[in-house]
Amino acid sequence: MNDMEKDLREVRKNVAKPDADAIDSARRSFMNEISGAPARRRSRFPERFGPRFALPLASAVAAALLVVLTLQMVTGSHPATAADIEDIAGLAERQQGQVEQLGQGEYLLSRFATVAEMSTTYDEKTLAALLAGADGSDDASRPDRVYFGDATAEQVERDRRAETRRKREIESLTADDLPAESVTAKRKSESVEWMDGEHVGGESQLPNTTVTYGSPDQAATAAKLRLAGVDSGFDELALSTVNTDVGRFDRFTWPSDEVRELPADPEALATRLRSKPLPFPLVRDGRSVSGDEELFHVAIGLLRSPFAKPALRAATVRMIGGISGVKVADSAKDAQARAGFGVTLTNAVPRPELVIDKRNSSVLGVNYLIDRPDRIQGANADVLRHADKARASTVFEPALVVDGAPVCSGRTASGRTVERYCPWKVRPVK
Amino acid sequence: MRRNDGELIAASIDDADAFGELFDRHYAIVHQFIHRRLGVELADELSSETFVQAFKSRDSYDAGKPDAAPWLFGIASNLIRNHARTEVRKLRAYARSGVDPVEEFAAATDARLAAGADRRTLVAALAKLSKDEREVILMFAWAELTTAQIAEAIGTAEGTVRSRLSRARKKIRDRLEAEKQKHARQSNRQEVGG
Repeated sequence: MNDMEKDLREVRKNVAKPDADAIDSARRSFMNEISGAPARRRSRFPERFGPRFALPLASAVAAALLVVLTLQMVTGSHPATAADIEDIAGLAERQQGQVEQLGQGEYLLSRFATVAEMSTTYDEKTLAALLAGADGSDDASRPDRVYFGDATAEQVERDRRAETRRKREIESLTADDLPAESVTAKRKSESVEWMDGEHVGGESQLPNTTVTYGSPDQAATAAKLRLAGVDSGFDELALSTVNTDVGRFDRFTWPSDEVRELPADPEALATRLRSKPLPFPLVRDGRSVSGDEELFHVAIGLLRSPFAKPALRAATVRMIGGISGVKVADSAKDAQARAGFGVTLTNAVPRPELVIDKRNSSVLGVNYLIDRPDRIQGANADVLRHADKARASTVFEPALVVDGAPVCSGRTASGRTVERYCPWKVRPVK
Repeated sequence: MRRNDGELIAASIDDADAFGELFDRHYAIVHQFIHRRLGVELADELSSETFVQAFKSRDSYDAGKPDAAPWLFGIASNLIRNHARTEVRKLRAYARSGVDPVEEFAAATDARLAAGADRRTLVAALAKLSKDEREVILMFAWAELTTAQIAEAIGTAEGTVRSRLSRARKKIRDRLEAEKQKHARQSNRQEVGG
């Protein structure tokens, strides 16, 4: 372990463990809470948990689900959707798996960009609400602050001055100080994912994130708000609330062994995916998302997986068609204005809209639309709730084959070893 | 005979009390981890929530795994993500002042020594990391999980964990290095001038 890591381990090492009384009282309320829980459904991993009823029960559940899904198709509760879903599934059936095209020592590389856009009007009311909600307590000046160690007198003085200035800003900020009535900002970041034929790879953000404002005045307003401890809403954290946490599951780096053993039948696939959930509940801003929403996102990951064979891709499309609340639009656009089928889950907030290429069924992008900002909940949502408009999108570029691993180490002029992107020699995937 | 975590969780499907033993084993370390990241109030709230969510999804736990710590840290970490702004705010306050708002309620009254410049730079670098990078490096350094356990905890490939970890380390080292060189330049100038 190097020095940096030793130091890191020391940070906040001495925070107190909860004492026995605190643990005891937490345990009591926890046991209270769970003892009132309704009986759980049976184990969904019969071979592990072993009760001999589990298997028949699981089959019964599967059969029931199949009946429900079939009924939905037969009764045609989504007549327009069903035909469109078949169109997309047909396309998926003809698309070859990408991983088969990899040679020895080659990697698949996928580049994607995440774009978040927000627009907020800072009138008196919004500002008051934001100020009231701003938690400035960490940053407010505190008389009991003690400076020791190697902080110089100038540093101490500089910090004091900055805090005084900051405090004054918070106290004096009014809507009159904010010349731009409405602030529009756009944040764009780019990342790459890569993996070899055995699924060894990774994901990195490229160092070219940009935030652009509608005008210089708007940028100044945003800076003022940030300085005053009111989150301007345009920083990474608030914007990524819209899509980051759900986005973790639509990545292309789905474990290959799991993808390879999935059944290529829509009903069986749905049953399997629903019964083998993510390693932890998918939670966004403190609320669990529904099983349907989870399934939708997992399906996006499957459609993107280079390990998914054509039959599995087609089954995935048909499975999406069976999720309640799914609608297909003949034309939707991703954040780069590329058009395709739009497949959306109408009852989710934010509402995901998957844009699928009409030529080959590949995933062009996913839009996360906030139709009702007032319905957004959670710790990072305070700013979003005041937005006039907010949306986030991820756009995927077609995967490329790279000759060798995309990240390699190099040396700087001063001799330090650094990780950087190798010069890529790429060819497109068919 | 002492049952391992997997066996306890399997038993808790029918017998909720078995989950109480899991709570006894892991509550304090989960609480301490959240406390280190977000402060004691959120630690109280979120560690309870972690166990409630764990209990609700206990039938998805692979009972063949004897240690539930990665699973619990994964749930905790997911909850922590929702408070990323609070975490960053506290780290920035610490870096700026040298006084850690998170240790505020620690029993020690040792005049709350302000941290030195290196520590403050390190904390500032932590605040600069992306959510994903911070999640991984703190699970590694503070929760002391292995990269394989982290991958299991956050539901991603181990390769992804390794690349995030190395990116996080690099960013922190770069920042420390830049700060050191800035100081070196300043003291050189003083020597030449003085």
